Amino acid sequence: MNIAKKTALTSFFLAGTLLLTSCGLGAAASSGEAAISAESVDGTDLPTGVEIDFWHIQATIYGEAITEMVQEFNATNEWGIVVNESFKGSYQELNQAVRAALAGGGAPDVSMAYENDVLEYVANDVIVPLDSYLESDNFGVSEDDLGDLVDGVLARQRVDAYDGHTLSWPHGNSSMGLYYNADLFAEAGIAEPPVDWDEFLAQARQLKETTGLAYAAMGPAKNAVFYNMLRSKGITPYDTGAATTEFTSRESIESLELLSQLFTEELVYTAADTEQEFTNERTATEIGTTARTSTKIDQIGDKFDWSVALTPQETDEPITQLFGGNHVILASADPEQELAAWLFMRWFADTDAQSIYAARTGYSPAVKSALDTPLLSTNYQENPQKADAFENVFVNAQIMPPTAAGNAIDDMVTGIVEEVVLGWVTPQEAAERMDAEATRLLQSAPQN
Amino acid sequence: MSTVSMMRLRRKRRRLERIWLPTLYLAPTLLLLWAFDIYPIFLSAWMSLWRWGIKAEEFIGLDNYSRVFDEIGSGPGGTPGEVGNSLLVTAFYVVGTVPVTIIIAFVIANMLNSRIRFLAVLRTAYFVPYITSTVAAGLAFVWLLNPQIGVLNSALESVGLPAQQWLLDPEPVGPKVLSMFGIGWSENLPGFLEGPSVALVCVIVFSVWNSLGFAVVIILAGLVTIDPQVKEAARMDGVNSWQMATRITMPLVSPTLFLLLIVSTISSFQSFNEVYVLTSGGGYGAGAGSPLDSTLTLPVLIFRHLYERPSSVGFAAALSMLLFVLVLGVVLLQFRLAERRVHYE
Amino acid sequence: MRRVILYSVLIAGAVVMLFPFFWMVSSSLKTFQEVNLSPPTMLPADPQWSNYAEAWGSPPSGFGRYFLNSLVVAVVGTAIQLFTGIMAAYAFARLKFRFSNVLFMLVLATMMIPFETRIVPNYVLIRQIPLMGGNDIFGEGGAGLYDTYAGMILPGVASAFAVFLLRQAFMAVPRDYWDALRMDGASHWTFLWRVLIPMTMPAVLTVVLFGFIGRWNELLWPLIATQSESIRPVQLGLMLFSGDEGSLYHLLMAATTLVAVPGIFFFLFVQRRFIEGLTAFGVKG
Repeated sequence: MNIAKKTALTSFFLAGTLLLTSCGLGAAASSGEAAISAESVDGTDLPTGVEIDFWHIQATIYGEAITEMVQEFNATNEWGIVVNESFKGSYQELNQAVRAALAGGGAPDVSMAYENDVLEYVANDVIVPLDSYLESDNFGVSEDDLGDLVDGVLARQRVDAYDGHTLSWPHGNSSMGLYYNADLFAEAGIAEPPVDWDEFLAQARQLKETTGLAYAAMGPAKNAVFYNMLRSKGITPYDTGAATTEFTSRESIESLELLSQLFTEELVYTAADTEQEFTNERTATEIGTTARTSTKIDQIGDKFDWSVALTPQETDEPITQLFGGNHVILASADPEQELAAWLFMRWFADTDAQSIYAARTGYSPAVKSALDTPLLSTNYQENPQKADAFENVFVNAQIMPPTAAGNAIDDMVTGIVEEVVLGWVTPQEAAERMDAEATRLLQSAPQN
Repeated sequence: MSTVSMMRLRRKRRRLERIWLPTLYLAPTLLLLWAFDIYPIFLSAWMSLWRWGIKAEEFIGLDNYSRVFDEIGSGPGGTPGEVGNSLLVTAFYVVGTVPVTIIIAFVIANMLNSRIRFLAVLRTAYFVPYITSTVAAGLAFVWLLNPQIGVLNSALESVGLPAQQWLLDPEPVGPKVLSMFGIGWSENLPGFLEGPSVALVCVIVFSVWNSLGFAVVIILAGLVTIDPQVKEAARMDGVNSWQMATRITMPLVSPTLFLLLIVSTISSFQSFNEVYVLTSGGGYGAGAGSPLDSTLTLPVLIFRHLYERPSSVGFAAALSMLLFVLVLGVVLLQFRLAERRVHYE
Repeated sequence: MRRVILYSVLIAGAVVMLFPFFWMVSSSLKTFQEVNLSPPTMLPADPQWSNYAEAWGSPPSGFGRYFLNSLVVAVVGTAIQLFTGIMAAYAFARLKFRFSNVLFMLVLATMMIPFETRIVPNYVLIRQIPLMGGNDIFGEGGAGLYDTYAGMILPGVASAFAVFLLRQAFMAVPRDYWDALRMDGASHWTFLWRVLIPMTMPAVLTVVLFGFIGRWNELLWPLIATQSESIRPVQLGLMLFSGDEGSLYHLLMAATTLVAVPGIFFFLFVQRRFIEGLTAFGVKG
């Protein structure tokens, strides 16, 4: 076949493609609308029977709890709003579904989103800011109710990067705690979980000497523990606004040295599933999300005595990582749909719904008043570890400052910490590399 | 009928065969493929010229491609960058899976093509991994390879060998194996000679296991159409089994083997699930491709940029085009070099 | 002696191949606590057959409904895939026309791009297909084939793999057959369906087998293309047992075992035909 014919054929296909592409791009155009105000929200007369779509990523007991909550809302809300929930797989799959729907139509009214998504959504003008709803007289959230939200959870909806707006509302909540095996502690003569990192190291050595067991296992993603150490020493690993980092600080190098020491003395080892190591009594502690408290209760049964404590702290203001998703309203150009979406989101983060969610799963409630409901107070009495997770850990939790570069920094830090514990680089070299890389990533991240 | 009209009729018929018949036979497939598979390739090429997040943000020409080339060799200390590392991992993976799978499958399929007892059971046994969900199989492998309690480490320790970290071990196998024999590794040698990481070797073994059933069935489908008389005649001539396999069987199933080579190569370049289930489970937020990106194949890197990096859909599209061109190049090469040796009739 | 070696190799291999399957079934009969034990127990201490009932009834519509949905998608999808594949393969293997090599490469090229790149364009197409699901002629206004069986089936009904496999099989059939039939004035159509297909039955069955299993195992596309819980296929049912906050492995394994059963039966059927193929379809010459 000669070249000319090949070219002709190719250009034919290309022409068809570009034609189709231009249509596709048209459909992807912004559906953002003129700013709404608290007055216009108050003025909205919500007809009964508005239907909204809600996409989430929750399976297992979490998915069942959501089904229960949605049914409850559909049955009891005064506006007759009907919520259609749809499970959209993992976080990445939900993300893919939302992107497709934004391009081709059919996006949900309420979707789950993490802070990074919220930043990307707001930059592309596809979500509705919540300020007008919050301030609305008829449909807003009162000062009292705002005060009912756990500090870290409210702060998560209003991070600096949102420029003074509230863009999301809570979905589920958990935090990073230190699980400990009280029986193994007693055997090693350890009375209480460690209050600071020196004691963490001392207890680890003591445990190794008396029982021969390792103190903890850490997963391949060691950035979380490293961040936790930094924050417990009063250091925020990086500043997203100024694009600077604290990775070369004294506290950071101390933390890397401690990690390195824990691994060289074989007090801590790497395992793919740290929970398995803890529940099968191969390690005395586990640093992990409090969301697993409920499944640990089932897994451990009465094998040993255990609970969850706050991770070691070295300042007067205890802090640990906050985890969890949020809800956002995807703009639909229909104020009634959007208002209905808000009302569902508001209900979801309020006392009744949160007491169901916290009682059925390992999440902690977003509002303190949920603790007083008969459902949750009974549940916490029956499962004291869940109460500990809330009181000891969750109330002290704050998210890491979100940035578009967050995932890239996490992966980079994970890699370099791994090299430290393998003994491939010194803490000093590692700190410098982290600083250089993170600064570059923060500077090149899209600004929102 | 005059000769002229006869000729006209024949020409008409030839036209029919040359143009309309192929069009008719190909139309359903090409239309469907165009709509659902080919058009997305062009769209991807188009997207690779943009900074693209949720939607198109800014037309940036070939910037994504220059970033791809920048990140081939820009790691600290002259080591490969993210893309370069990923290309190397992909190369190890493809070279490690495709030939091994085909050779083992050819041997097994030949064994399973004899008239033996329990044939159905045995054939099914080899096919079952293909049906067993990758997730379930991955869980079994993760347990076998568990450093603390896995069967493999127990076996090693019982014969006096040191336990390994397996899927958690980012160290390259080259220096590691040599050091077992007391041979040192020179730092001056190029990095790729150190070979894949221990973790990647585990993933490769898993992939071979996982795709073996597919390959065996494909080869079997070719083997059963061979006339037994051909083999019988060869055996009468005193052909031994090695010659039988290489001189008789192989040429006769060469169309099937060629197909398998092409299809395995393509799917090996695309493999994502095998890496994902073995390396992203457990831990809190441990990404696929761990440890230290030593199992980060190109599809996993594309996934990372699609979902875990801001406004990187365009960059992911550029990476997809790189993958596309690579696979296309390799496949064209295979067609040129290998299809000549295929006996179609 | 040869037999002994043959059997020992095959059986040893079979054990290796079957182990994860055995593991899956064994785990499916454990309690939540036992399935998380490590070191694990080889066999369940007290087989929990109720796991199967629990898994089966877990989705709101029940797994029975999901099986039905998957069956519709897999059977219809495979049937169309086979038909279009046979036609295209015949053209590539037997007809002479311009651009045949380029077009064949184009078909193969569809396998060379990551599946993620297809998701958004396919979704847009399914959703905006004109005159379907309330859409007007420009594809606006309705939901198109979103949340329907057709929307789940359409992407993937044309398969490069099927075309390639059948092309190879067709090309392996000696040309003499066609020349002989041609003398009798037979058309391509008759030759294809009366001669070629029966002679290449193992290849056809292979396409059906892998087509069916491929559709049966589909996960990402049905997730994107559906909203209603009651239309979803089995693989999405499996997802209900593993989530971001941990997995219910005992139920997941029970459901996975159930979902694997049709594929195994299908294979048993196909491989029976393979054995018959030794005699029935054997090519003479």
